[in-house]
Amino acid sequence: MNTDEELRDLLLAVEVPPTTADIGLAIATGRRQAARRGAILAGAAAALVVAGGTAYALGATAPDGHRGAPAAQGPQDPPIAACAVDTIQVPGAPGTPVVDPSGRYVVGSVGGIASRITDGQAVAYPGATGEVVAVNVDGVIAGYDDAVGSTHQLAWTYRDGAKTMLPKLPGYPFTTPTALNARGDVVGYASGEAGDDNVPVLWPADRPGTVVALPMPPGFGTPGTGGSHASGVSDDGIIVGVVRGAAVRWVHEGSPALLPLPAGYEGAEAVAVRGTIAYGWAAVTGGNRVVPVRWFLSSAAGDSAFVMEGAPSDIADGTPTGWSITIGGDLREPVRLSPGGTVQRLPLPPGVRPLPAGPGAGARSISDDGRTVTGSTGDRRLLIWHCDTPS
Amino acid sequence: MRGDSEADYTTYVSARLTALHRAAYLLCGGDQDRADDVVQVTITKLYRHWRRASGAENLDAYVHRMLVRTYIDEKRRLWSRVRLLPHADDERPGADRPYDAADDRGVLIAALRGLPPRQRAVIVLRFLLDRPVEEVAETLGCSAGTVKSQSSRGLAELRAALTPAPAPAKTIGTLR
Repeated sequence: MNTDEELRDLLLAVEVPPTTADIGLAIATGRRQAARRGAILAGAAAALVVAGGTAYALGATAPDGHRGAPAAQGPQDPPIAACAVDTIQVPGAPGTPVVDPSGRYVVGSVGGIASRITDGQAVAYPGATGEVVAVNVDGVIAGYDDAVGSTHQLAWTYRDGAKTMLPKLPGYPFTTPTALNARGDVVGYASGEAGDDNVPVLWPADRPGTVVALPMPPGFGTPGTGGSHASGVSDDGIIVGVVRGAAVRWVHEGSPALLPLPAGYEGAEAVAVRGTIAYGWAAVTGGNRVVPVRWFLSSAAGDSAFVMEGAPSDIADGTPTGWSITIGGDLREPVRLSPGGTVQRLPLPPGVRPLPAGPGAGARSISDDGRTVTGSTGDRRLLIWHCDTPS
Repeated sequence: MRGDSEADYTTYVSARLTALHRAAYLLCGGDQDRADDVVQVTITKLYRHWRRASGAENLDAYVHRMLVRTYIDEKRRLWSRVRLLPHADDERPGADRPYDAADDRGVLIAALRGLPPRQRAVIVLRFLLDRPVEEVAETLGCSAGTVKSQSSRGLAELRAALTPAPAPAKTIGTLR
């Protein structure tokens, strides 16, 4: 080998086994990540559709060795609720909106500017350019800008008409917010160029201009050495997330605790927390199956896990009383999971069918009373479900 | 992602998958599992950022950069631990490395395995993917000078490995 061309020829001649990389899996995973991080896809028509009964039953599993299931199960489930879905057509490629816990604010990025969706219209917040991640009961917004020349993000908050960039963690050029609570605490992750060297972080509301790297659990190495992020923060300051494949929770900036998993499951991620319930998913040991999990957080009795075998696992958000919604899975057909684990399909707007017959839809956030759910169709119409869920 | 964008994405990735996998396989020194992971993560990231990526002046260069950055991150524990790939339980031929042919190509893989990761990235980016020095420097976050010196050092190692030696040949473990 004497020339560059010869080296290239040799590199091209190396016999490479067939790849098992899967484009379908990339699309499914990409959709799920995009929905969770706020980048999924958007008539002013309203339709009243009754959610179609119990779509399919599931076995709610109270795991061995953990303080079991919540009281409400099976026959005690509230009746299936009726939901109406509003579709809102806005120009361009809007981001999927989010709802605050009170249900008062529905906010999404329209035309690249954070906008309040009200009465079927999008009203822009002056100067609030970027993508929206979360909004709290006071209308404070957390969001991000795309970093120039990078696939990463820069986090900001918007309150009282002013957008403020959140501070970066030294050594990490990028910041992505994931959640915001009533106090205005923002959580998320700091990242380097590689994209997976993430550090879970907290931007505390009572210390503006400060960013805190959340500590790693014992034995999990130092921050920055693995995919890790904070994904939810409760109004009491409980933060949940994932550290290198394990679901964790922090109380404020304190030491993290691993969230428990029943035997037979390994690897988990917490994606949201409301009140004392964390939501996420876990992988079945040795298999490729993933199941949704709720964790009941208790400083007195310890945390307990409640696995919902058989239900869709792509949880997007939940309520303090145990209701949760899924993004929509491969078919883009979002569901609501009752506190007892009953699966209810959220009605799609007229003419919108799940993949592959139609564009499908995804759900993203739910108000604390379970009555308001936000999402979007695959062809970028914004959706707001109004449900008469008892709470 | 809109339906037409998704079709564009699928068309692009389908056409490039073999080449991306070759690059990943060489980057990973013949580690097939890891190469599959690197490609899977790269095309997932590409899906998420397709709207911006598809507007790139040079989409191939953009994707190569994503691939190499994904490879350079050695610690993708999350992905490998919660392994959702459908082939997770498949039998893999990796144990006896049947693809390491007993000729120059096999020696080349072994020699690549002996190079430090970033040097390997320089070799693959410059010589397999034919990316200019300045772009490789930008991708790897170093100076053009460093790319040139890493190239020549890496090339020297590969040449040494591929040149039959009268004395006992170097083994993989002593290449560096």
